[in-house]
Amino acid sequence: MIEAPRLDRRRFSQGAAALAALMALPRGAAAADGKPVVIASEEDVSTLDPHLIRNNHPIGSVIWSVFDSLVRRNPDGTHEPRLALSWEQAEPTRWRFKLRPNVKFQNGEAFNADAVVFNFNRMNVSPYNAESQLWPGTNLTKVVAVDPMTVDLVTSEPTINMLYWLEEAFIGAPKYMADTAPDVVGAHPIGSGPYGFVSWKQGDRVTLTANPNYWNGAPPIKDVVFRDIPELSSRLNELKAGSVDIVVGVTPDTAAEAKSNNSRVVSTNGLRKMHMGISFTGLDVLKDKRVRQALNHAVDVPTMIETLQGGMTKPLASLVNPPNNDPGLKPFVYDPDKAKALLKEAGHEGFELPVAYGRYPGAKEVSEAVASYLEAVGLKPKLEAYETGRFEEMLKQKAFKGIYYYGWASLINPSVELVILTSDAVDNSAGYNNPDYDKLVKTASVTLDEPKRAALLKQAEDFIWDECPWIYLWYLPAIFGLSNRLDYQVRPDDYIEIYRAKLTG
Amino acid sequence: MTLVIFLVRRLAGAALVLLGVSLATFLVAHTTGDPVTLLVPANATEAARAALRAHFGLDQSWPVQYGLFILHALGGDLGTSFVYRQPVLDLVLNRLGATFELAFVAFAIALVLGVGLGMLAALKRGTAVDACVTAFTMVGLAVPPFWLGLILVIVFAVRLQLFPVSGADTALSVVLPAVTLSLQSTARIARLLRSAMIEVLQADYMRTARAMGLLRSRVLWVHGFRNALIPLVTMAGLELGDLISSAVVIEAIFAWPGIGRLAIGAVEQRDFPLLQGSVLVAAVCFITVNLVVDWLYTRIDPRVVLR
Amino acid sequence: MKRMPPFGLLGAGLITLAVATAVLAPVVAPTTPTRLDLRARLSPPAWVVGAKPGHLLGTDNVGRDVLSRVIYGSRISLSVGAAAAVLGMLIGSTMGLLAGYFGQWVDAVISWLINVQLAFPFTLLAIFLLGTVGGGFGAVVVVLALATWVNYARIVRGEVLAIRSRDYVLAARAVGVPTGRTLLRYILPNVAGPIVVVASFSTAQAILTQAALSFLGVGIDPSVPSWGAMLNEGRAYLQSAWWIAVFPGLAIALTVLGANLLGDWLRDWLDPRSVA
Repeated sequence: MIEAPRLDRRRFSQGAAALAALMALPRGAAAADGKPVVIASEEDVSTLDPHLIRNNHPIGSVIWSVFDSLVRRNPDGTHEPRLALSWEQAEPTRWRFKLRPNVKFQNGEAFNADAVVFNFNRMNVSPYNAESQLWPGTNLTKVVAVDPMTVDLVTSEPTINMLYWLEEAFIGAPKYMADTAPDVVGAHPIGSGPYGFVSWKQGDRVTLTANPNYWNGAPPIKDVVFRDIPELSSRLNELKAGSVDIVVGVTPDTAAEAKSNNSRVVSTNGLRKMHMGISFTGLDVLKDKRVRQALNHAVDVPTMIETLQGGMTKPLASLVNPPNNDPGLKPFVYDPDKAKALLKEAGHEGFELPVAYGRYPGAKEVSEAVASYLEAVGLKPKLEAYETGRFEEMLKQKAFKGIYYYGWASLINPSVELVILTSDAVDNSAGYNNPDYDKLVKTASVTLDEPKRAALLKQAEDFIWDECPWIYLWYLPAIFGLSNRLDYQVRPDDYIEIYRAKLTG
Repeated sequence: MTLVIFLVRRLAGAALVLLGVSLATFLVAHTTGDPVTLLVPANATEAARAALRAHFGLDQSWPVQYGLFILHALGGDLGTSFVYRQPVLDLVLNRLGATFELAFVAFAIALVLGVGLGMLAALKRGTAVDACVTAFTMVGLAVPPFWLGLILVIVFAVRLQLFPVSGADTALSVVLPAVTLSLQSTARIARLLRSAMIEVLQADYMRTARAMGLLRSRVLWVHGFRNALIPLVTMAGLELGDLISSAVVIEAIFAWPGIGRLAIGAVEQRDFPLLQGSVLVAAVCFITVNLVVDWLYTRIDPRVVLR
Repeated sequence: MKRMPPFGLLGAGLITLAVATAVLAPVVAPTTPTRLDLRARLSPPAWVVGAKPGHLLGTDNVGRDVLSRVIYGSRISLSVGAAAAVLGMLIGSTMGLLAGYFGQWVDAVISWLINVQLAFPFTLLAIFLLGTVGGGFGAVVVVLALATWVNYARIVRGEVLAIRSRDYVLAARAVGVPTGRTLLRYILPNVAGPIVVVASFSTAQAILTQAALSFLGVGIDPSVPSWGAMLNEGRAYLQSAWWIAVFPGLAIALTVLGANLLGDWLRDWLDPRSVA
């Protein structure tokens, strides 16, 4: 159940004496060694239903701690067995998974093939199918329990992305989920993961405690609290004061503030490719490749990285994330004269260009900087701010007329990364439409022969880079503030795997 | 008997107001687009989106949706949040305590400080003390509260480390947000009380009372303050309502887990039921406070009749 | 006419200063408020160590001159404040006049609207409307007018109730003066004083609210410098670059202070009985 509200806390009834006594107490008064590890995020955890994960963090981070999936991706892109022991693509359209025996959910239910079938089927019905992309993402058509410890996943066509989608297909206690009201399931999660659920005070915190019966042994850190602190400055202050251990969403400009006697800054090149999307459904001039290339030459990305990003990231050099990218591709050089020349050659000089941005961190300053560079080559940029909902809608309807600040986050998987610019991809928000490119990517996605597929993908990668569907910016740096007592390797994709963390000393 | 008639009249009025508030919220919400777009990932299929819309009842016509909402609301069911997938009433009630705590502490500060400063200024009218109080109230009214909040955090939480920066963890957590929230009310109450007291002090009956040799302090409190109470009570009612509404911004700055932040989230994510629910509950609070205020009149001033 | 007291004088002075700044912005601002220089970003005010030359109040997060932005920001704050006050005045006074004069069901409907508005948490409504409909000058003015019309309506209604049964009004009605004319000719002039007073306070309120909305990220066109938006940008830099948020905050406070002081003085002047 959700923890009771604080109505019953009669804080001020004790009078001034108690207040004075409290003032004398150090903050975070709990004993230092037994103190829970606190993770502070900007956003609120809004649901704990394993099939309604709306963001990697904080919802995803909590779900990853309480639940487990069949496989989990390693930093190098391979997958490690979790609830699955091993797998094979028995036929092009049939994947077979051997399951881990003797795993129990935290309420005592046993994990087996039926549990997998129940959970995967739940992901395919409304309202969960709107959130979970396992079925459409993999062309899954059927989940079959072959025996208690074997599951077959049958797809309508050969799929190469099965493991990628399985990572986020979480498996909860089936009987509990079936017998309990959905709002209770979403507020009181029961999984088989490294942590067990303790309490959820909405808008404030989720508290977890180590699962002593975890199949891989209880995690090193016993108590974990996910807190919601919207103001970045507040998060950083608490980090410095020692009451928070991980701060999420540190910006390049505030990175220095995360350093103190208690804390340090850790950053990694993120996987989110920041760019100004160029609309193919708006201004006609933008359909001219020379204009799009001119835009790329007009913007001084290295200076923006050095100043706005504090030098904490690198320019994009491909639409495919490293290490799978073509090393032969290089970022467009900042050359305003060349930009002007290209615009002149195309016969499109001095046009008005809407520059749209939503509520992403840093969106406004980046858009303002880009606009000023475009102004410098004679264009008339016009800044447009959008509320989150409107922005998403505009993206979905491909309704932007000019350029828009956006970040595309996808894991290390070239085909998933390249497919978003095919004409029928629902999330192709720029409306880029090129039959040659479509064909290239489509062919690659059904080619099971590895080297052949790699060659096709490289061809697509090089082609789209030259096409400039975006003004290429940089990888969004993932910057965290960590307390010195914590030993933790941050991930580039926002998820916090707290069960992998340790306390030092 | 008068009390019963009063209550019936006022409750009927309150119901009409609530109907207006809910209708306005409903219309504003539904003219702003499809909430499902925001809820699901960009690559969700159209069929899944449609199913979700049906799941939320968004596929029905507006009049039907509104009618159903009212019908359920009458039974105490404010629907299920799109984002949290929890009953709206639970979500709102869970957060209401925190907002009440913040608003009431701020209200107490405003009342004590405001009345104290106002009385002081009225008694010392024309002196430096009066000028100081006036200056304080004018500055208090002019400073943007959210700005003040940020400055207070830097000074008292970061530099001096006297109070927590944010959250609601310790008993001291409420201090900075409550002080921030109370400033404007303090200033308004002080101004009001000052002018009301000056008026009362000049009134004939006060002069008479004093001429009759009654003790100065007794005159002041029994006759003076009592008469200044009427405008004060009116104002206090409005202020309390205003505090609950202003808490929205302050809660965001201080990570205060109240209804304001819940509602802002609901707005940003187009969580219609949650928005509808939080607005309704806030309106109920406001109306209740005003009902109490009207009743208080009769206690203070016997000439006022309930109608 | 009474001599202007020091507080009133101060208010008039502040407002004059603000208006003059807004009008003369291109003359007094050291540079264009939108020109950015990434290499000079986050430069502190001139008197702080490490300041880059040419920026008296420092630069913001993309290297724009804070002083110039504060100066140009006055245009938005004042014009939005004034426009919202006027629009609110038109709506509110009309409603108040109608309710007070006609009474009966007209009064009932308008009073209902007033109560609905008062019971509505305004900030949420504003965020919702501006967020989804989109910002822009007109939208912000309308939303702020929606917030302030009640102030006028309540005062005017009360005043009209008090004077509608006075002899000259009754006489005018008795001799068949048309209703519209009665309202405009005999009633409106008598409520003009309170309206002006409310207008000055409502301007102050509108300026504050506009800043709060910009602070929450909704409202005015982002390419135009506005004090509220500057506060919003500066909020992430409070500890490292305090000047981004502190100066626009001061500008807001001084302008609102001016409007309030002026309002106080107006009220005293128009109503000799009042002592506040």
